[in-house]
Amino acid sequence: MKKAIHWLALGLLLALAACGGAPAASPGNEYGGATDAPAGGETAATDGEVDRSRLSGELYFYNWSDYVDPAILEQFQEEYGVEVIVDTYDSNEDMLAKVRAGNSGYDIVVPSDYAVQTMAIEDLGLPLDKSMLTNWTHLDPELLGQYFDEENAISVPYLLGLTGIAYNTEAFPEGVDSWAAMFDTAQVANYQGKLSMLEDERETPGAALKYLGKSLNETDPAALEEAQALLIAQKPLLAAYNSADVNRKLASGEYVIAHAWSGTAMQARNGLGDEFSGNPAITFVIPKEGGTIWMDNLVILKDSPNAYTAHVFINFLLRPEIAAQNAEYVGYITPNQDAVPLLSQEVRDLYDAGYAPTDENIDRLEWIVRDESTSAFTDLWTVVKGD
Amino acid sequence: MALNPAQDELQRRERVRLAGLLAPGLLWLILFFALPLVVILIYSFMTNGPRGNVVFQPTLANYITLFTKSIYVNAYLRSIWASLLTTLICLLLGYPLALFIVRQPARWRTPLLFLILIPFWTNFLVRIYAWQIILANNGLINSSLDALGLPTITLLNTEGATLLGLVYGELPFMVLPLYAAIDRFDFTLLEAAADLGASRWRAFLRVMLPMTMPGVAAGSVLVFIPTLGQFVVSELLGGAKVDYLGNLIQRLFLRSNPPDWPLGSAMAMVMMLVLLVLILFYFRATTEDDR
Repeated sequence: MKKAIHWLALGLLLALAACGGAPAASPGNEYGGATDAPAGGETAATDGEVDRSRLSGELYFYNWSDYVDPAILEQFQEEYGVEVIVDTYDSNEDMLAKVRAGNSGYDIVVPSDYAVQTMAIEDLGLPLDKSMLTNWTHLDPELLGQYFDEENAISVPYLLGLTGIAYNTEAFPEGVDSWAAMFDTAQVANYQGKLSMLEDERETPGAALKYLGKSLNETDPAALEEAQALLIAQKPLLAAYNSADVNRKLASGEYVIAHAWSGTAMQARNGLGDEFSGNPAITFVIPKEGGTIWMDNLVILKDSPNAYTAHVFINFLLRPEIAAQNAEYVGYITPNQDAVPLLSQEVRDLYDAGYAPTDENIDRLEWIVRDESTSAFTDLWTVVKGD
Repeated sequence: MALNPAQDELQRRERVRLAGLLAPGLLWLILFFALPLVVILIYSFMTNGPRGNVVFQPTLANYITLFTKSIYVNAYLRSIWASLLTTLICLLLGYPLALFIVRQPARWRTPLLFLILIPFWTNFLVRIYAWQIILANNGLINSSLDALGLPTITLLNTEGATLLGLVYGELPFMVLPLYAAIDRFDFTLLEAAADLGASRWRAFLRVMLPMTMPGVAAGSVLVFIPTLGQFVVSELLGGAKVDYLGNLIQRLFLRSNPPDWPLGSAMAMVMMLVLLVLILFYFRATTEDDR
């Protein structure tokens, strides 16, 4: 008996030890990187005057996972002797909760569009000293002054992306140009179990709303009910709601079509370093009914102890050659217009083909906005997931 | 009534010693268990702000929402049902397994128990991903079927896959307490029952099962509780198509736009209440058995 109890205790201890990890995102997550990044720029001459005596030894960068090329952090350390310590999160809400609590210890965070607005309202961001950001001029003026920070008082565009449909051209030789490929159940029945939608309570109902010819931000109850009915009818035909490893599953053929971010689609096409090889048959489209545009931004925290160093680091990230190397690595779109010519031809071709805003698709792109009425999407999503 | 001074001093020392022994544990419990719980309890009565910021405005609205909106009531029922099913399957698989191990020669028992524990050496998430590879459309099972010229079947991203993952993960928690209980059981009692004319089934149901009931109860509680809060398995093996309680609470805290900590806290509190009731049942059941 004693022996048995001993065993039981040991077993439970081991079990607890093994179960400790939280799930967060999957391994091979949505970002990640291509391999053939161009060599980093050779000079720091464009960075204006930096008073090295004011630099701190370390800088704490709270970022999405795999959302920065580690090589550029090393280069920053070489040039300035500042070690950038990266900690990661998987959702804006996660990050906001930490920052709100105060004394997070981080210097720079990367909120998406609506989260910048939240940070501005709650006075969590430090007003930028633009005189220190001499590389600001490289940013595409079209992307500045968005609704969430009209003066760019606290936020600097970092990377942006689109949300649309990624599909395998071998399965769709005629091409795909409409959300009907995801929502018309008669069509979808032909490839049921081989398509996925994002696990996201705004993007996914948003896609249904687009199919219905409405705005992503429509909260009229009748429209939401229609969108909800579409999603419920679609659910049994789905492989999964997935925001984590759509890139791999498209590349491996597990999915033939997916509601996806542009960067995910680019990774599925080009591969992700030595993690998996790409499938050149994958392509990405903003359907004729429209899609989403979103942007992640650098914000220095109000209580950042290293605000000076943070400005120097952001100015470094704004160097065209650094921005290009980073965008090449993570697969998303750089808002740095002078960085675009420095990208590889392959990536530039994909940008032109609609993996980035173009003259062809720009009018169909919409920002997801959050206000008091949009909490209706939480209920909608709970109903869909509970059905 | 008055004790002599020497005895008094002895008792005082005893009390100090006892307090000294209990203090670290108590402090730990208060700091890391009671306090966070109180915070969640307080949050569950607060109002959610427009941007997911908790506003200190007492309200019962969260609890009213949970008990009146069918989407939440259904989430509870669905989760309780899935946990019951998992517990039952674990019991049906675990009991014969524990019995088998107990009946082996002593030198085999330790290695066999060891085998039950080995999966714990690998992180649970990694093992669940391994199941994805086994069950996927172009996974191990389906590519084998395909190679044999048989039709393939959809295994991954079904409720069956979720249940499989839950049972797989929790089975050892059922086997270990059952092993302890069955190991304690005196098998000559079965012979006595047979001598008195009981069939094998009857002897099991009337003698062995009641005497190993504490193990059954302990195993069931150990399986049921973590299953009720599980959110990884349905996400990774069920295709995230159905929300269980764990998924819903996680989403309300971290994914919703805006997040709703007060509602998530209320949800967690109600879940704890459900579990508390079950544990009370368990204690009553086991103590009556010992009487």
